Amino acid sequence: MRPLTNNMRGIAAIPVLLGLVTVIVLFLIPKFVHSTYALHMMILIFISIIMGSGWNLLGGYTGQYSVGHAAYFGAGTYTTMILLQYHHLAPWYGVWAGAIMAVIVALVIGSICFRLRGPYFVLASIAVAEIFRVSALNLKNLTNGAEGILITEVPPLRIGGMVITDFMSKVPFYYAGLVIVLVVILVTWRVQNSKLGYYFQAIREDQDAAHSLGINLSLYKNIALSLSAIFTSLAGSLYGLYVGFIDPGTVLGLDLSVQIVMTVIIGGIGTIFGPVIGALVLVPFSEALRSNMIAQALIDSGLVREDSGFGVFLKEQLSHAHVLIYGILLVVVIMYMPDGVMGFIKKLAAKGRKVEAA
Amino acid sequence: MGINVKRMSIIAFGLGTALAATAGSLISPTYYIFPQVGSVFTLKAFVITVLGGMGSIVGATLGGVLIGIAESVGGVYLGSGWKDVIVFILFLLVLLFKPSGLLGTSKD
Repeated sequence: MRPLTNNMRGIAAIPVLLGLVTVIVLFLIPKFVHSTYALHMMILIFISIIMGSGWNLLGGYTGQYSVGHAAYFGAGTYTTMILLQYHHLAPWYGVWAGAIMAVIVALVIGSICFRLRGPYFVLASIAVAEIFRVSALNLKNLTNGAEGILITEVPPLRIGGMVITDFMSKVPFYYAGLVIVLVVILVTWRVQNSKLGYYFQAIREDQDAAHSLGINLSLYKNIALSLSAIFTSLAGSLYGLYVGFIDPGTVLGLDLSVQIVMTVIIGGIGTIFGPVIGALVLVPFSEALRSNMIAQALIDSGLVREDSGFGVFLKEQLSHAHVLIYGILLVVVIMYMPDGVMGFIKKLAAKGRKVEAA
Repeated sequence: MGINVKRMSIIAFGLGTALAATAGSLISPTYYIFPQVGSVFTLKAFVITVLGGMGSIVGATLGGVLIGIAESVGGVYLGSGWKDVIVFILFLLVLLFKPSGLLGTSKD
């Protein structure tokens, strides 16, 4: 009996150890990596992970495919930025005000939209997000309309007269993003292994059956949506403070909602690390396409001569077509990996095990 | 049953696309054209279909007329910036009180 349990503990210890090492490495990265571009990419990936995981709590575990998550992203970031810009409230309070705002918005939207199901819910969520976007465009007194809000500096964070950080470099944003990522992964893990998570998953599998078993549908859907809205708004606030500029098109647009859903679907819907993998795949990939890295790599590797017609074409045109290539690749991934990258890896692992057994 | 599902889906998709293309051509004399012009109408087409009731011919027509009138009237009284908000609020209200759309028959 004893060796068996020891053995099992050993298996469970490996992922835990790996996770710990990864976290420590991630915390140490800014000490050794001074490239602002690398840090910038990491922060974008963190923001993508946070909003993807937020959506995953609602879409992946509770099965409510909201394509209007930009509404919460925008509610969070607009609250934080307006409070900072016009009321001079420091962002580390404003962020929580943004999260509360997002929860209020979520509860209002939830009480309306959760009566609807399937495609009707999806459309209603898009409609609500569009209402927010158009309102933000038109309420010029509050949001500054299409001009957006530009902040020039974030006030330094002080605790008891001591300056903790002045938000001048990218490092504080990196740590803020990393901490929120760890929190959202922990929350997802807790939710997945708790009674709450079982309620969510029961609603996802069959809401009528869940209802007949005594699960209060609108209550648990609203809980899932609120949790989801909190993290989406945190991602939004981090984005707003980091980039320093927001306008309705970028933080409330349908594109953003679709991007959030894409991150999760590409990574693997309803899994803890799905959004992480999705963000790790999508963010660097779109960046590589945009900055023409792929054309350069093809030329450097000697596959394509730089002075040949094709090389010139690649160099001049590939970065213009980045959205096109991005779209085509998304279609290919969805067609050949219907369960996302996580599902694909799991399938490969299962196949490998089968081969081993045979 | 002997129905070629793939063939029928392709025909339905083709017919729908052809109708959308016709609508696009017909609107071009009165509307400005740019590469992203379609996205506005994609969402509106969804809204109209669901508002009228999915799978209902009269419903889609009625939905289209209603949305068009709501947009124009809202634009006149509240300013053109708010006209989309009117459309979406109308859409949400219809879904709330009649989830299957105005003339829809599905139980869901």
